[in-house]
Parts: sequence; C-alpha cells; structure tokens
Amino acid sequence: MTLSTKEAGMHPGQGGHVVAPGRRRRKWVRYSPWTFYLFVSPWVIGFLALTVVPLLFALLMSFTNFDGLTDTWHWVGLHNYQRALQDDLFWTSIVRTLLFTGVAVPLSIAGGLGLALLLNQRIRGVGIFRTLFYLPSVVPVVATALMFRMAFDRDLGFVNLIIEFFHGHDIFWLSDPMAFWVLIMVMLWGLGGGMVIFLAGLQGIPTELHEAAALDGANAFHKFRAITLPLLSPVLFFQMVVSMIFTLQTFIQPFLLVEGQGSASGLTDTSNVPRGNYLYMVHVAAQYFSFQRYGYGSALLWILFALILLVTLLIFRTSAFWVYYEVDRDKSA
Amino acid sequence: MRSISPISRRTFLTRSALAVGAVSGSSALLAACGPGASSGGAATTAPSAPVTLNVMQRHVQSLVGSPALSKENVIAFEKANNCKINWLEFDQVKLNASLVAGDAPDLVRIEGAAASIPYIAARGLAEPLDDYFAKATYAKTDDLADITKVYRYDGKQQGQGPIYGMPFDYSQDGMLWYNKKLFDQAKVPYLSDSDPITYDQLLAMGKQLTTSQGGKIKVFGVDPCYGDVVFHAQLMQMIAQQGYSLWNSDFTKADFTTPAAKKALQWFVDWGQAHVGPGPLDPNPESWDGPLYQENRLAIVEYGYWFNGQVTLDANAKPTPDFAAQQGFAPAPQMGTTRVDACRSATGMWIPKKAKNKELAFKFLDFWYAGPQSQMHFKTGQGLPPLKSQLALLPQDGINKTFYDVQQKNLANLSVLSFSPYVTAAAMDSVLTTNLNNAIKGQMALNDAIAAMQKQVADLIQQGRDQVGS
Repeated sequence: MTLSTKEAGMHPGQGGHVVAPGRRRRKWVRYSPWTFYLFVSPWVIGFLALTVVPLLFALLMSFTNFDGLTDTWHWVGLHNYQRALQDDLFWTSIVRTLLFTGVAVPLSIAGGLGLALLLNQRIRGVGIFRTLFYLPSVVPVVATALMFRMAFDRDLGFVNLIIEFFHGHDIFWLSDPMAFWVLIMVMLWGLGGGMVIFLAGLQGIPTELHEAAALDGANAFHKFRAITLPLLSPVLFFQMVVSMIFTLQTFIQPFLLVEGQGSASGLTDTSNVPRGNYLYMVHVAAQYFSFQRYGYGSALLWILFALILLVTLLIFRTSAFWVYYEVDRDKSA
Repeated sequence: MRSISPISRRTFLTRSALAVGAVSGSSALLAACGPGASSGGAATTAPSAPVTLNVMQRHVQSLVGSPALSKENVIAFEKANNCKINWLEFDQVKLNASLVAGDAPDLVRIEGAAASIPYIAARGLAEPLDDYFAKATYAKTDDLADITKVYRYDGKQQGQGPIYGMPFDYSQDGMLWYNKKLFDQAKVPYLSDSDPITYDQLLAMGKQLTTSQGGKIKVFGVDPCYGDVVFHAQLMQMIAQQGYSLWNSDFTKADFTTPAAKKALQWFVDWGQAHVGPGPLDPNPESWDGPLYQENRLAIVEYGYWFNGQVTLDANAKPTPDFAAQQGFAPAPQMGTTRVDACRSATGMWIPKKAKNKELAFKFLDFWYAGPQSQMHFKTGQGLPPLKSQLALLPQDGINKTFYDVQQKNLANLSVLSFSPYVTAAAMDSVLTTNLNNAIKGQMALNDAIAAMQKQVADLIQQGRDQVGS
C-alpha cells in the first residue's frame, strides 16, 4: 500500500520538496544543463580530438598510399583493402591471432573465475590472498613482458636453471614453437583483474539460494552449475567481450619477448618476432614502421575493427541462449 | 524554482564542435608562441634572442661530454653564434612525423647513409649542400675524402651530383677483428693483414673457434653481421665480389634468384645452422655483440676500423693495452675474385629542406665534423675521417700502428655501393632478416624464402616508384 505524504508523517518544504519530520530541510538546487555539459566537456573534447579525429584520419589514410614521410601520396580507393585479401601474411596473422584469442580468453576467464571461487570464502587471511593475486595485474605490461623474457631466456633464465637442476635439457622458450605458449603465460599473468570482477559478481549471489540447494541435497558441483554459473553469466558475458576485444589487439608483448639483441632498429622492427607470435597487430606494425605503408596499415586496422565488431555482435547474439538476467527484460525492446 | 530551458541535441553537437575547434586553434597558437618553436626567421625573432638549433642525434644523454663532442666546445659554439642547441633523441617515427608536419629538425643523424641518401634525396627531403661547402670554414670541398661521395645523388646514380650531407666518420665495414688469444687456444693460425680469406674459410674457422660447455656455447666463432642476420648492403657486397649486382642498372629490380645471390644467402643459412655465431638459433641477450667480443666470448667480428675504439679503450675512454695487444685486424672476407671492400654505412648528418636554420645547421656541422672539435674523435681511432687532412690524426702509437697500417693498405680496395632510391634500407633489411630467419630455423626452404623476398621487395620498389613518380 502506498502511503501519502501526510500519512507518512512528511511535510512539504520549500520549493515543494518533502522532508521527513525532525530532519533539516535540504536545499536542492537544480542546475542548468550547461553545468552538466561543462563537467563532461573535458572528456568529450578529449574523446573527439584524441579518438574520433585520429580514427577518421586513419580511415582517410586507408584510401591512400601515404608513406608517413613525404607529401607525394595519391588516392588509391579500395586498393589497400583488396591488397589485404591477397596478402598471405594478412591471412596467416589473422588465423594466428584468432587461435591465440581462442586459447588465451577461455584460459583467462576460467582462471579468473577459479581464483574468485577460491577466494570467495571466509577464511583467515583471505584479504592478503586477494591482494597477492591481484597485484600482478597492476604491473605495467612492458615490465611484465621483460620479466618473462628474462625468466625464459635460454641461457640465463631461471626457468631453464630449474630444468637443468632436474637434469633436463634447456628449452628454447622464446623461439618457435614455445614462444606462443610463453606469450599465453604473459597474458595469464593478469588473471587478478578478472578475479576481482568475478569476485564482485559472486558476492552478488544470494547465499540463501546456496543454502536452499544444500538443503535439497545439492553438492558443490550442482550448486556451481545450477546457481553460480547462471547468476554469474552476465559477468561472464562482460568478461568474454572485453577480454576478446583486448586480446585481438595484442601488440607490444610479441615485440618485447624477442630473445636476444634483435635488429638495431629497435622495438618497431618485426623481423625477429618468432613466427608463432607474429600476430595481426605485429603485421600492422610492420606495415607502418618497417615498410612505410601507412595507408595499408590503416586499412588493416579498420579491417581489425570490423572483425572485432563482428565477433562482438556474434557474442551478443548468442547471449540470449546462455546469459541469464534476473530481471525480466522488456520483450518489446 | 528557476526555469530550465532544454538544449536540443543539434545545439549541443554544434557547440561541442565549436569548443573543440576553439581548443585546437588556441593550442596551435600556443605552440607557435611556445618555447619549443624554432625561431629561425629573422623577421619574427628579436635580434638578441638566441636562435634554437634543433639537432636530432642518437644517445644524446651521453653525447655531449664524450670524446665525440665536448661540452666546452658546444658552449663556445652557442656563444659565438648566439644560439642554443636543442638536442633531440633520434626516433625515425618522430622524424617522419616532423618532416610531414613541416616542423623538421635543423640537423638530422643518418645511419647507413650509404643506403639512405638516395631515398631521401629522391623525395626532395634533403637540402643540397654544395653552396654551403663552398663557404665552409673547415670542410673545404677539395679536402673531402672519397667516402663523401655516398652523400651525392644526381637523381639516377649515387656517387655523383649534389651532396646532401656529410659523414662523421666511416669504415670499410666488412673488415675483420679477431681475438688472437682465442685463436691460440683453438690453434687456428692468424689472419693475413693484407690478403683476404674467403667466406667458406671464415665459416670453417668459426667452427674451429666455437667452444661449448655444459650444452651452452662458451665462445662463439664468428659473427659476420653486427649481431643481426644480414644487412642488404652486406649481401650486395658479397654478390659484387662475385662480379654481379643485386640491382639492375636503374634500381627498379632486385634479383635474389641469381646464382651469386643464392650462394650468398646459402652461406648465411649455413652459418646460422652451424651454431657458430649469435644468430637466430643462438641469440645474444645483449643489444649488440660488442660486449660479447670484449668479454672474450666471440672470436671474429665483421666490423670496420671504427671498432678500434672498442678494443683499445674502455667505456671511460681509458686505454686497455692488454686487451688491445691480443687483437688482430684483417681485410674483409671475399666471396669471389672481385675485390670489393665497401663502406656500407658512413654515418653522418643531413639538413632537411624544410629546416628553419639551414645556415646555422651547416655551420655547426662544419664545426663539429671538420673543426678542431673533431680531432679528439679521430685521435682515439673511432673511425676514418671524412677529410683527407684528418687522416694524420689517426692514432699510430703502439698497437694502433698495426691497425693503422692494415687499414691504410686496405683503403686501396675501398668502393662505394649504390643503393636504390625506391626502398628504404630498413625495409630491405626487414624483408631479408624475416625470410632468412625462417630459412635458418628450418621453417621454410631457402628457395621459398628467396621467392618471398623477391615478391616483397618488388612490391616495395613499386610502392617507391609510385611515390617518386618514376
């Protein structure tokens, strides 16, 4: 039953606002929309100037043969996009990137969820464990990759030292075929970030449901499958989309994991990246920095954008079958 | 209660766009007035305000105060010319962006000038310096050594035409430095200081000199390529030694399928797979192989005279007589009967056409590379000088005399390779390294690697021709 203002003991204050008895009248001030726009303008201006404008510039560049150096460029229409279809390395790098994403994303989601399940218990020191597992995800990606490179160096890395201690043979971790798996390990280093999100999702699941299930004889697995997973599915959905988008754009780690001195050209040289780590963004970097093909590189980036959009849409479409929302969605929407 | 007038979406978008435009415009205005802006034009600079000279170099943190450039001399130049030198760390991407934006530095380092000068000259990026040299204080035109020809390009051929820069120093980059102590341990006879060995002999020696311990390589036998797999300049030299050329006469085609090219590429695959050097199968964790050599872990390196400074001096420019005494210096290995011992680099500087202070930039170049300042650099034997008159500065005391004599004898074999204006050295090296790496690792057959190189380079050449308009 809905109480009227009077029945609820409220009394009207100034400006028509109701105030509970015994409480001071709060002065609400309604600002004009300009205040809102003023506060959001730094972000909007930054977004327009630093994201939208470069995106549009890259789109324009993708229709030219701009070399990033001279102003003797020409309009080439869809030539760069057609070139991509005939570029063997384009296809191999896309397949490799999809394979990499197909391995890294499920592992990182499963790992993050697993850690969250373990740490969603009332045990002594759980806060310390949560901190310890979360800390690696705040280490900058460059530091992480360099650390892995040192650890997996064939001659000087401690991983091979441990193997030698057990009388094993040195493994060439940073070259094919193991380089791919080291890259996967680098990606899994940041499991703590996903763990925190899953933890928040787990703590939103009412414990009464688990208790009721336990009373009905459900074991841990049944509870996980029938209660936890469905109620966690929106978080899983979010993690899947975000992880997939980031993993498809993996760029800096393959360069940093190159063992040895590589070329004197430095970080932007792609020629020493192992084949297994020659991902799509490495191929894009090669176009820009090794071959001065700014137009073609921009076209490749827009193709990646389209691919990410397509995969995201696919995931959204399938979500109707496996994502459970507690609140009924408006069927007319 | 105040009344609120709602704002429409159209009005919001319009006003946002205006705000962005205002911010961008004011940013541009502020940049033009800011301290980073070059004040080259006399009309806009107060007479007493020092001119900012933007110099893009490598390792700028340690450059000023090194034997290459003393702090006192820099200050003296700045005072004498009422200028302030703004040192920019060399970055190719930053340089490209500044050239496109019309905000080029005044003086820019070029590494591998031999390979890059045709590229930048053909695109009209570099200022021709003949008139500047005619008025130079130190670098007189008739005193320029032959090596300065690599900075000449007439639109078709390198080595003739206007000059677009000046080398700081140079070397015959294929000459060999070898560690006699390691040769003694492996019982390998020393190299001749006048007669070159063949590449096959070099590889055989490398195998004899390589030692392992506990499954790890303790001493590498030979590194023929600066710690990388191959530079296309080196490949060009190996092909030229067999009497052929990688390029056709107008540099519109590079042919990797000739027997001469295949022989050279096969040699690199054999070297890489023999585990005798820090290559793709045995990478060196250091950024270059100089430290390996200085630690007595590498027996032969293919560096030129400039490496003298690394074997006779330590990091603080203090003499290392013991280490220097165990070094040998020999002519470049040969792959055929045609004696070719080229300079592949000739690192130096050039002045962008769009630079704002070209006269001052050349004055500094002249002062640094050819003036009294340059003497310290050549007295420490860190490279061969670009001026004939500076040759006498090279160190000739003790062990340095031995190295000097070997170099003098070999100078007669100096030649200049010609490079294509259509493709950058970096792009060529990237194509070669990527495909050769795959061949060395057994991921593709050499013939397939060669076919890939052929296709990729042809693509790059066509791209360059579209841009240059030929």
